[in-house]
Amino acid sequence: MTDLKEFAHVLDGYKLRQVEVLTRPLRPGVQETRYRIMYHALAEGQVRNEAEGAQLLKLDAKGRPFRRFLLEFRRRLFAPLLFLDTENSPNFNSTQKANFECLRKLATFQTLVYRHCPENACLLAKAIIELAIQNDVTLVALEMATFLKRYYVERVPDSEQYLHYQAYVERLRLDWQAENKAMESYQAVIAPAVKSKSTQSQIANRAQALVESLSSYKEKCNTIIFVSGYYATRYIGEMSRFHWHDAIAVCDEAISNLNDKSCTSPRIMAVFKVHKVICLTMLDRYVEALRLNSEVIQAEIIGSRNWFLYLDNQLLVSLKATQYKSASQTAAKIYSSRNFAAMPESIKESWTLLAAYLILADRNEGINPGIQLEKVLNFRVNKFLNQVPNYSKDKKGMNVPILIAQFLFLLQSKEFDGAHDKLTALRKYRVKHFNTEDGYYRTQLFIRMLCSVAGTAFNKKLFLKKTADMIKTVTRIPKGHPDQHFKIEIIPYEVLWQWVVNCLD
Amino acid sequence: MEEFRELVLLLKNYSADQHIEVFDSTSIKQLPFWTASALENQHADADHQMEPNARMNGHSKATVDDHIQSRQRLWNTLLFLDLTQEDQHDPRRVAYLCWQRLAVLKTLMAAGAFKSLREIAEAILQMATAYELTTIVIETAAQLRQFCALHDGNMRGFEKYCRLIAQYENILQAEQAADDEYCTFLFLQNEASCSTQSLANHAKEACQRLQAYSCTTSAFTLNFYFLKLQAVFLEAEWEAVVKISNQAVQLLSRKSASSPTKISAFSLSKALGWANLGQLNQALEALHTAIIDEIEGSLNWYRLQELKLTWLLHQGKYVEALELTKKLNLKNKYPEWPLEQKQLYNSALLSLAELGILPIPNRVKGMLMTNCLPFRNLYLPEMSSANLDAQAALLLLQLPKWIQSRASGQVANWLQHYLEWSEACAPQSRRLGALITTLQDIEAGQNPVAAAQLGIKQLKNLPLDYSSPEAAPEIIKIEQILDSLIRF
Repeated sequence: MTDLKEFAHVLDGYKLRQVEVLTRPLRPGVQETRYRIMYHALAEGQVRNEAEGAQLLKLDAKGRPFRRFLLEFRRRLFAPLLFLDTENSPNFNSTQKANFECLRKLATFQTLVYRHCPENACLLAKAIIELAIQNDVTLVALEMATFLKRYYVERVPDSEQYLHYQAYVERLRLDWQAENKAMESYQAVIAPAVKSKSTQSQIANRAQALVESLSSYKEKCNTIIFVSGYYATRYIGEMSRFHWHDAIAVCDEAISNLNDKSCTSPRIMAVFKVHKVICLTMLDRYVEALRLNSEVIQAEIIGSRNWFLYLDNQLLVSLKATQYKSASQTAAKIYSSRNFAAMPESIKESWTLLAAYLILADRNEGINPGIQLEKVLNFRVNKFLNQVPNYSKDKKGMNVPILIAQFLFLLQSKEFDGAHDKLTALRKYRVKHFNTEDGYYRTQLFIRMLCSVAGTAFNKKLFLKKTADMIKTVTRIPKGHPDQHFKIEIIPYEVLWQWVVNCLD
Repeated sequence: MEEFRELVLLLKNYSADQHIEVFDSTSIKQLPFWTASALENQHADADHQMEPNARMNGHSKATVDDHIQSRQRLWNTLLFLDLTQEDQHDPRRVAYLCWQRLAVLKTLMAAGAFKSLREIAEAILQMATAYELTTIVIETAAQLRQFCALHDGNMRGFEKYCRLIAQYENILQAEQAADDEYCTFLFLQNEASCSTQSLANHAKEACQRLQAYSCTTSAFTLNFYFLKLQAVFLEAEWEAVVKISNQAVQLLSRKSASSPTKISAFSLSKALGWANLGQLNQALEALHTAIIDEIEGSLNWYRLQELKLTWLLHQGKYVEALELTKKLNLKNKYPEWPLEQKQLYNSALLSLAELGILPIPNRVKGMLMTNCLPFRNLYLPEMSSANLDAQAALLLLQLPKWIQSRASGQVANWLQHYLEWSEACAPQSRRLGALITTLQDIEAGQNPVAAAQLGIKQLKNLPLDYSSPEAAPEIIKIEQILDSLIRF
């Protein structure tokens, strides 16, 4: 009973009546606490903003009591959050379940340590350290091993156990450090690309330097996080150089490496598969790309941020492959999800752009005459034409497809003045931001073709004559060759050229 | 309210409540370890209980039978308890709250709930930085770094957290080195083959190695000063012990991150240093500080109180010792004074009363008698008996009676065996050796009073060793016992 007795001292100092689990159902006829009332009101959607929250509690929304209530309410949500039911949810795989379990136990463990319940902390540490090690939950394993190492030299001296856990501590410290370095490397090369899709040659060099610095850990550390960070940095380097085949090889190596681990999470593998999808797309291997991407979507939690990102990928690849029906089905999935509103603006902006191309495809190719796609995608042309998106700062990146799409909408509706303005903007961009050394050959040629429309006074025959050679050149350049970001050419330029032709008289 | 709704929906979607098994105040009190006194303490709470949990109460008895399930449920309960406690700035509480929140943060990150993430993470980071919780700073900054990099592409934020992590990685390296040195020292100390001098040398070398780090965190300072202290402690340089303990206490007291219990350990060293310098008054003062910093009712707290009691007895402050013993006996908040120690000290005071040295009112005597060793029965305990030191202490207290019943030879033999069996340090052995000689002289026919006077004279040159907080067997100085023999 020693381990249970420890608790008596800890619990003796508390007011036990305050043990309250907010998430339990309200009981009729019982006076519930304000926190539970608020929890259930939020869960049922009865409270949507602070004013309604304050009204529910009969408090002033701007008053100090309500502010204090919110602070306390947040604190009371923390403990139940550690008890998410991952066991009965099909959305979590075994690695994730183990991770959640380890985190919950870590919180309990540290509470026991600092509340001076060493016997319980020891029991818990021994019970959880193997699970943490098996599932590469390094921080948890390290904390437990550090405690046990000290326990067996300070509290219950036992040389054998001490040396056993000391060895663990040394290994886990290295793993933790390696993981941190690998993740920092990955984030260092991915962060610049979150808001900007311009070609950034410095990323390739940076990635190479980072991979070299990680190589010293490569032989010693094999945890999921390290492997992911290391290979992710490598494929980003290859992709930044537009070495699609090499990037595919890196992704395959990572997938094979992760496959060898018993605790591999399909979600982590998905990261590499998705990037392989991009590379396959750039090599015009659309069928393989779409099949792999579908596999990745299947493994993800519906409505999660990654699920949205993978659908975004599916939509983009479908558009590139000119499979518009599949693209519209994917888009419908994205827009009808209840979690759509909660996604960050940078992601939503990318969808708006893809939706714009899908609408253009619908108008030009008639994807599904029975469905009003604009309604489904909640797309308003005027808003799209007037918005100044984040990407407008992305000079050689996503601003180009935005301007092209805006031009196409204006051209379709015969608003030649507006279309002319967009062409001016495109021409300025081409002159200012693109030169022959820059690459972007397909994009540069296509912008030149579009700009020539202005010179032909929007005349079809003249346009065809002026662009005949250029479109032949564009067709000759493979899509995988261009040294431009894969998101810039959303629908092949040959197709867009045809749509322009169709719009002209 | 968006961020709250995000959390609430996460809880709702994964119906957490089905898996939260906690004890409420009614069911927890049915647990076997919950003593009657603790129940009394909590009585007021039970009367005002707001949320009795019918589901749990119904099963409480069955649950209590299941030890593992009880433990699991207690662990869970612990996470729900700490809501409106007042000791918000206690570093230990801050530490475990930060860990709890870090676990929540990582759960939110894994579950893709981003709205509240940043706010929670910033709060944790602020708290962990202020309280020097290095691992938490690194982990939280890593979460924020990831958020900046992947969620909103904020390069400035990303670089800021990279710098912070790099800074704290250096601190962590120093802290880990200090922890390793500390553990290695303890490991060597536990090894029987390691001599005192080589241990002292090891501690000195470890300090030199650690000096290369310019780290000032509490965790580092603690281990560094512990080793520094050990080096002088093992070489019995008591002035240096006092000086280093003082430095450590001053350094750690300046920091909000320092746990009072850790400071208490240095105050104790200071007290032991003073005691070995023969300054028991200053030693008691330092010991008093150590007791204040210790958690009331913890095992260490009781050990410090016992030491204080011993020192009061050594100084002949019997009335104060009696008051303290009464206080410890009457402390009914769980956990109580460990029974063996309680019995020993109660017996010591009763023995003094019996020798006529300390008058104890009958009411108090009755209280002490309810928990004492059989101090009136003269018997020689088995060498294999448990708690041999306490048995030896009792024997010393009974010494005048043993001599009176002409059995000093038997006691001398027993003590001789005790010295061989026990791990008494050299100074203590010498003092017991002097006593054995006195007893043997009496056995040989020498006048007990003259032998006792000679013994006291010899013991004056053999000062008591205060290098360990363990008091037994000399709870009352041998000189005082021999003196009582003279008077007896």
